[in-house]
Amino acid sequence: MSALALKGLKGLPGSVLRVHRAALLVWTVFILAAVGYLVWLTDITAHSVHARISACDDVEGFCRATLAAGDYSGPMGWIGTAVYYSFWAVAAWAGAALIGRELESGTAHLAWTQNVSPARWLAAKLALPALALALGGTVFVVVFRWAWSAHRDLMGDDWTFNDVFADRGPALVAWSLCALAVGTLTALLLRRALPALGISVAVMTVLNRYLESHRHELWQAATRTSTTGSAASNGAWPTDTGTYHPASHFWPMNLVETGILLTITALATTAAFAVLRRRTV
Amino acid sequence: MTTIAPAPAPVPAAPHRRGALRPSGLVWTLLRLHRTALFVWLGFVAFTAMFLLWLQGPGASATQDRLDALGYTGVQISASSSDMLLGFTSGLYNDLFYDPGTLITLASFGVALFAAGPLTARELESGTAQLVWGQSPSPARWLATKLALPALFVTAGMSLLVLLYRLLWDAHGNLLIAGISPRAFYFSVGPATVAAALSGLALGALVGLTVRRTLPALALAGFGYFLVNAFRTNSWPFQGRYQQPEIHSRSWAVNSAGAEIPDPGCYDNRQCLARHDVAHFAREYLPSSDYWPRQLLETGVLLGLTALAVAAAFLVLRQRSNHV
Repeated sequence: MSALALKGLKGLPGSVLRVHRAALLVWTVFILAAVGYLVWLTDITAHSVHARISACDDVEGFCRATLAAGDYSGPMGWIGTAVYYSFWAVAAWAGAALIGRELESGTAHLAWTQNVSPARWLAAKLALPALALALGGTVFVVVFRWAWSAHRDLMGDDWTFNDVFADRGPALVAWSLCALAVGTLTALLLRRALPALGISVAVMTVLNRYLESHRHELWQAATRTSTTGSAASNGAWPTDTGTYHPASHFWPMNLVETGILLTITALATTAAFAVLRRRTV
Repeated sequence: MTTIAPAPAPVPAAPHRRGALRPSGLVWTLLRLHRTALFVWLGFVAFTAMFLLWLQGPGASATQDRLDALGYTGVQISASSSDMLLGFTSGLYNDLFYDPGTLITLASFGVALFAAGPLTARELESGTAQLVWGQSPSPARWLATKLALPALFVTAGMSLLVLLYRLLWDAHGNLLIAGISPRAFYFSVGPATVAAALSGLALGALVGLTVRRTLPALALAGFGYFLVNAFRTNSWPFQGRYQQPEIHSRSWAVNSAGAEIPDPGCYDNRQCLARHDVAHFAREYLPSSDYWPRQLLETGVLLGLTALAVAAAFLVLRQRSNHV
């Protein structure tokens, strides 16, 4: 590899980071705030809620529900929901800011004349955000798993909730990577920022609603028998047909969803490079 | 383009104004510039209106038949099934009824985002706005037209949809499962629905003029309008602790002689219904005297917010255009 190419390699990631530093900052602050809030809730708030519950000599259950809801379980739920659905923002950003705006304004074409091939330009544009999304998402999943299991007695949710299901496994990262790829492909097809933003958010919405409503089909459900009945009802996900998913199905189901999303991501990325080659030949 | 051909009509709107670019020219230019948004808006209004008309007519007939035959039990039977279409809708009347409301909320967000992005910030970012101010319309007139035209379309479209929606409620609200959903619907749809969309327009324009960059303006306007919406549904100060007052429903049966008899409580037992000589059932939601005070107060608050945002937008514009 020549020295010039090496210099180009160094310069391209640097310029991608410079152009999108605001987005990187927002993402970092968002993840750090979410993680910090989780730690605060788990280590500090939960203990004060516990203390107030034990001091409250009301009917058992009532104190627990009312005291936990506002201070602890409410914010816990909001954090999980906000981070899960952040893939919408990723799709909007990838469609509009990362690719669409550059194609619309001609900045991309300028870059391609500067010793940066279109394919390398797109590779850098995808690799750096993907790295940031994977890192931030992984950190959140690890902390969320710890925080979510810490005070189950204060929470009313379970593992089958839409956001909890994604937030406790690699599916969370897969959703954001899929949004990145879909936004990129849409922007390359439309080459205009605002239409790309709208279409990529719409596509991710349809995909999300479809997968969420079919989650219980991601893994073979178990059949309820009299011997497993009581054990199964503990944290199980009943289906329409009388079968159910025990909590142990969480990992295979989450991994299958991750696999589906990463396949879509790979297809969209391949298509994005193909579209780019056709556009720039 | 044929659909917007009558648009230059507002010529007499400001005939006393002088300038090379006549008012009709400015209106025409803006309609052409934002024609995509205009078509999307007209498409949304047409689709939602058709949807509401369908719910008023053929969409309701199966559930209405069950109500006639079995009373509220029939409504409950109609509302229990779970065939999902792409995860969006179960296809049940009790769910479909609320879908136009979701579309209307989404459209209000769309209005706020449009006002922040394409209507203002993109023009300032690309310099198109500054170019226009260099021609004859003053920045203030440019903004006034930019706000008045969408406001006209938003008011007309939303008013039509709200009217159709209230008619639908009067005709078929009795096919809805009782609970928080019909209550939330009953108190939220009305003049305040139109005012909410207008406040989105004003808020979006203010954000666009202040931020002057398309994508940050979109993000900020979306967040700002989310806050307005969150307050609207939950905690306007005058709503007190509870979201909405209760609304009451009334069910009765009619026998073969046409006389009103109380619901015999047969559920779906046909023999029992025949024994009580039930010809058909009826059900209705009683109107609440709380509706108009709440709607008008909410409309007032939202229009006040709109006026403040518009005033602030003109102030920001004056500051900005002085520096051009």
